[in-house]
Amino acid sequence: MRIVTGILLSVLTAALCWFLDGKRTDAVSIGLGRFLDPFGGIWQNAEAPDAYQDDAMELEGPKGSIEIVYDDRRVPHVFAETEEDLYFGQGFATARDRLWQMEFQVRAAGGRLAEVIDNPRVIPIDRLERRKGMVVAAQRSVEGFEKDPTCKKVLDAYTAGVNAYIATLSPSEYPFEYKLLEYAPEPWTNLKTAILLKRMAWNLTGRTYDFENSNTLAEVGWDTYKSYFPMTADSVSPIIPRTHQWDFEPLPIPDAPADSIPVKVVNNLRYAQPDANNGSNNWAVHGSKTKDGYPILCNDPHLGLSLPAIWYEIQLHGPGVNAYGASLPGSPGIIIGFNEDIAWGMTNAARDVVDYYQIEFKDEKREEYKYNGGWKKVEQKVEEIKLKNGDVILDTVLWTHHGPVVYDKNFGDEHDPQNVAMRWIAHDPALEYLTFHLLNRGKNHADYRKALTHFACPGQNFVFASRGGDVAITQQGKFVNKWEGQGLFVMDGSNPDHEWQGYIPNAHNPHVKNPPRGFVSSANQHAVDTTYPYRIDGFYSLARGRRINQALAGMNGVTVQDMMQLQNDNYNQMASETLPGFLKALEGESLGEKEKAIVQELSDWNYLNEAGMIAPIYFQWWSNSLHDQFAGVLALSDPDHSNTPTTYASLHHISVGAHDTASAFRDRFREFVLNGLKDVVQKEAEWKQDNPELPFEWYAVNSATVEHLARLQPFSYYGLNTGGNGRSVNAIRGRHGPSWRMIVELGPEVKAYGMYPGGPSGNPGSPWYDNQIAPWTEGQYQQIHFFKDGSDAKAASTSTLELKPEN
Amino acid sequence: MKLILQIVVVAGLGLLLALFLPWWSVAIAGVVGGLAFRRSLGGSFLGGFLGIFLLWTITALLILNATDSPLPDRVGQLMPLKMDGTGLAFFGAAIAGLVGGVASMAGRALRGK
Repeated sequence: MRIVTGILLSVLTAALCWFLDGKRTDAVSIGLGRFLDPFGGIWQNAEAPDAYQDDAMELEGPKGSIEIVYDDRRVPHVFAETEEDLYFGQGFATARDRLWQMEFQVRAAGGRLAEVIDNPRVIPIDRLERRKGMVVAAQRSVEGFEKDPTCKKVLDAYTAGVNAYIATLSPSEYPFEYKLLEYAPEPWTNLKTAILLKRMAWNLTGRTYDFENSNTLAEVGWDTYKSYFPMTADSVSPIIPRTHQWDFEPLPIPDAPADSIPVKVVNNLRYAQPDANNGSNNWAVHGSKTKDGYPILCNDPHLGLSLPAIWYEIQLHGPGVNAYGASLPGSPGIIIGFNEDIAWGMTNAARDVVDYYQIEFKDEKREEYKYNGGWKKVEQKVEEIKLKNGDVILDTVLWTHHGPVVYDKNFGDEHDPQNVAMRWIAHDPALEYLTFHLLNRGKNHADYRKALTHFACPGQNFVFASRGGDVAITQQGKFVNKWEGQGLFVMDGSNPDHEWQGYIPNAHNPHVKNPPRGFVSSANQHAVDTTYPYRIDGFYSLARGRRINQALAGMNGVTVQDMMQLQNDNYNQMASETLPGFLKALEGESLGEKEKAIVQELSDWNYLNEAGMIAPIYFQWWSNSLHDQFAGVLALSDPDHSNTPTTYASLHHISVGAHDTASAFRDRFREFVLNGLKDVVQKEAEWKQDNPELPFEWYAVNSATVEHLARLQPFSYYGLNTGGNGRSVNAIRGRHGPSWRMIVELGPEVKAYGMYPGGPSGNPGSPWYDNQIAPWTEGQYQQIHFFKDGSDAKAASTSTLELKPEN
Repeated sequence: MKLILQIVVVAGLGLLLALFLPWWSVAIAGVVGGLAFRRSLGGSFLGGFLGIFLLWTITALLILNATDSPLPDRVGQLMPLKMDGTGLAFFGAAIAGLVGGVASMAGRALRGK
């Protein structure tokens, strides 16, 4: 009897162990025994502030001694004797802090989330990445990288460094998220680095309006379309000053074909698209305008904010290079930064380099599609999506010569577009990494210009300053020489005239050096005015650029402190230009008590979007309401699936009334404004009811958010107490904002300041995971330690990790 | 007295095994603790449970104290019953203790008289 009990209890023990060990595919819960084990589970990820101590490791890989010196901000400074060792060290240091993030981002971009997340909702996300051909694009990149000896050497070394770090880990040392999601790190590859770069390219170029534009065009016609969606506007303060003379002979612009604009109502995209406001600010002030006579360069790239932080600060010191700045975890080199001679930064060019083509298949078999009066063969690529439970989903992606047919009958439903192929410049091979490699080593303007020639996608505004005294800006990318209207709409995939005919030569890309106004700048506005010979269709933001240019033009004796203030400037340029018009329209109206109070609040407002204010909320809601009402004037039957004029353009049109078709609604302007005010009153009541626990202040409505990549609430920040909005220089808006603020003064000793919403560590168990969130919120900069050599660094270090070759 | 001795044996063995084996080695410690002491089934459970419970609680709290890491608090907030880091230490220990206790009962029963 006892033995039966014993066996039963043994079985029960084993069952408990199995259940609490997790890794089950049929259950949502995690294995609590494994997870909460103090010897191997999450307790092993608890990290003290001084977790990094002096240490030395013998590894397979390094040729000589590599020193990774951590400073008091726990930024790593890598010192090595060879290029291979330098990038091995960067890979090792980055993986030590950010392994899970690196892998997870690449997993997401490569369409492999379903392997580790047991949730049917991730399957369409994975399929979309496959259908966009993200990995195909990355493979083509890698083929190019591996043919270039420099790229190959660097990528191989970086990959080896990451893998050397992974090899040091026992399961109890895996980053926290692997334990939560119950999987293990995979080896890193050069392909993964390329996938990461394509992910960035997609985030910055993938937002398309082609479908909305097609729907709008079908309804309003080409002339009205053009008047509401001008390619550029008088109000733009372009990146290249209007006085600039173009010094090249332009290529001929292709003729628009007779049937150039396909008028066709198409379905709209329902899938999540990159944020159109993935923008940024950068500028460089010439020494003639600064207090100490040294050039100052500033950059703050605006991206969707996440934890672990998007950027990883690092110094790379090796033969022929001593560079510092923000790197992307997963890519070698420094993306935005400086060295002893130059500094550089980027904003998004937002030019349209993704076009969609309607494909007509010959028959149900979909083996051929119509092209140039004949039929062309489809290439099939079968994607295997592995699920966490071991199942495999197959998805056949049809490739045309344009690119992959992203949307067809097998993906989505009747509400999604059907049979459209995507042409994306990032599917073409290019050596983007080489640009950063050369910038990291650049000494002067000529080096900078040469470095940029390798850069194709995503098109960027590269700002530049040198210790030699030059400032410059270039809009660089591989851009298409388009006819008017080409690629704004879904194009006809059978018509060769609708295809890209050629590219704008690098030498014709907008560039200016040392302009008379004493500074260069960009903030996602149009690069050029109408004198530029090529078409520059894209999506642009106007207000920030105007504010920055006005502010810089008005400054003299510029100091680093002035630049800090400007990066954190909460001035709402749009409000300053439009609100007086709204208020004027209300003169003489009899308003209710509540309306009067709102008008009073706005009349007293200084146009700053400060955290604790109420007026910015009223303005935001008022202008939103007007945007929607204005869209109503265009009488689009389905505004949600059409392109509507930008809020800025709308408000500008209404307020100034300068547009020739504006007279029709100028009479209704007062009505709009009054309706808008009523909307504000209603919105306030609703908001207060929905958010009883929140104060009615701008920051609570703006809700600055920095969320963990796996959307884990306790690992994220919501509703940070900070000012700014999408259209002020300090472009903090919801989940979006300055992901890295950098200021570099290029004097005899380079002085630099930086911060980002996060911290060096990717481990949520470390105090270094989020230590910079508070200073970022308050706009407090930290001085960067930029060391001349290893002994300098060690004197100021808190710990050093030495990597040595195995004996 | 026997109980205290059993707790010490289970906890000590649990600690030793944790250096080489995954978390489920608590079951082995429990079984051995049950085999080694001639006690009632209920008494065996208590010895196995407390041995593992104390081992895990003390270890977790030592880590919490030594690192002052925000992680246990954050993970505690992920649990269906929200708890802080200290609560998480006790919670995890209770789960492992349950395994240790049942294993200890199994060991006791398998030993026979």
